[in-house]
Amino acid sequence: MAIDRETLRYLGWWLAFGVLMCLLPFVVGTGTLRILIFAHFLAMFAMSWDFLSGRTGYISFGHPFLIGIAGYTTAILSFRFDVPIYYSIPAAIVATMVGGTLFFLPALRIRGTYFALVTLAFMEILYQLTKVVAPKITGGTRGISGLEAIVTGAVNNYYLSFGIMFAIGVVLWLLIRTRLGIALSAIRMNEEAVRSTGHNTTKLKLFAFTVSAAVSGIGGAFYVHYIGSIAPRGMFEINFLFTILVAALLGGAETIIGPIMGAYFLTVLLEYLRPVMPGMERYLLYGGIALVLYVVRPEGIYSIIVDAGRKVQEWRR
Amino acid sequence: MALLSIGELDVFYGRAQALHGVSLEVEAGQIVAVVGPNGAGKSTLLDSIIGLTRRRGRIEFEGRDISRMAPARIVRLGIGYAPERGNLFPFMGVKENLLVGAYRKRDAIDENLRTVFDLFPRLEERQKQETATQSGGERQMASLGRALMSSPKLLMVDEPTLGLAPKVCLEIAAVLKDLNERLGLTIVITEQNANFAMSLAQEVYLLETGHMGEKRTPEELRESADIAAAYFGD
Repeated sequence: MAIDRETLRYLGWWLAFGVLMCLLPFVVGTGTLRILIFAHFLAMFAMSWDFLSGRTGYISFGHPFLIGIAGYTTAILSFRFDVPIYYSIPAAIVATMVGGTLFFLPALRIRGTYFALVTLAFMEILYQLTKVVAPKITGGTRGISGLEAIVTGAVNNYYLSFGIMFAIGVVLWLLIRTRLGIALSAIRMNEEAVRSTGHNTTKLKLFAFTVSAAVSGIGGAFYVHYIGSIAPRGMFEINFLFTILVAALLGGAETIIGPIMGAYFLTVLLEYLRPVMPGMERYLLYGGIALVLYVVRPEGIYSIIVDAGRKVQEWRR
Repeated sequence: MALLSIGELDVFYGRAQALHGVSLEVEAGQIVAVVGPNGAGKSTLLDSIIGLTRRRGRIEFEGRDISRMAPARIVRLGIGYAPERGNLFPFMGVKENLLVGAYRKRDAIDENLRTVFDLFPRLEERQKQETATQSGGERQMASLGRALMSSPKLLMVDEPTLGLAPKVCLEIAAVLKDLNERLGLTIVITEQNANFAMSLAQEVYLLETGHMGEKRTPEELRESADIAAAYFGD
């Protein structure tokens, strides 16, 4: 990959974003930080989803399956078997990557809607399994709570979650700028043509699945240690899945910063609506906003910002 | 020894047989055309050489059996394929489309990009344009360019003139000739446009509903009535 001017400019933006977010705890209160921590985790999941589905076009409805593997692995290891979290978290990430290859098997044969439905089944199966298989270990329907925290306090957790999200974002962003990333996008548009240009599409897809799973694994493992508990409900749930999808799509699929923006937007919006609309009607409003945005600007928030930036530049000239 | 040699090639789509015992010989340095109407199996033949179909029979490239190899290996051995131009990646820029093709020779990317842009200056001017918004001729150029990015020894082009204006056809023909004469590239094209094929190729095969005719020179073919029969029925 050549470091051209465009790459440098974007790197500058990343840096600015990083510095800005690091200064935030000096300005805002811990309440806001707690909200943003959730946004960071959602952003990781949305980036993971987008790296797989936004890039290759293999739409996953089963990302909670991956996140759940990570969460349960580290929860069980650390809580039931007293494994230190320095080992249980990496183990969880590896387990998720193994789960990602499992996820990959149907992609050898099917794509489109069928693939999406199979991944949904994956999630559902794990949901049922956690309730019936070895409930003494998984905690059954009640799950496990009282998990060890990695760091304490809003500020520390804010920095930890932001740091991880930021690192994932930059790494993925660098990855999609290589020819490998271009080839992954090409798969979405025309898989057969990618094969005829001499790429091994099976390897390419496996790579995308593994990377996506690793990101989900990192996010999932840290997430459960942050909230301190895990239960099948809430984890393997269609609402959770949709929040991930909406964050990615609303922010702007096929970009890296898009899902991050979407996650911030969604989380902040939902939290600030809470005092005004305490009940479920909040979700109605957010559904409405998502709908309007999606009809008016299917490319997402990211493209609105890019366009606005361009307009400002033209106006200054 | 022929660069590409095919014998008794059968290809199936499910139970339907698309090619019946097809043979083809391509000597290094030649331009060979496979001519036939729609549905004759021209694209199937090229897809089969590059390894995209379920096939049975003998396919040898530089004396090596490639009939069981996966596309990735076949491309690495030196066959470049420009499928029908609909097979570009529509929402990517021209340059990115080309880069997807740069698989075999990673160290020669810049050099190959230069070659392609020299052949098709219009692609260089529009390297950031999405191919979805390009004209048919430009897309054909991008498709050819993408195949060239793997530094092939044998270039296969599926219907280079499909849906193109006569003037653009001439441009494409000139480039193919140039690639053959100046760079010594061996080329196989498929064509419906028999006149285009005969003006370009040294040897022409006639393919009819999955059956391949004898190898002939354009002159021989012009004199026979077979072409008319293939297109209009006996």
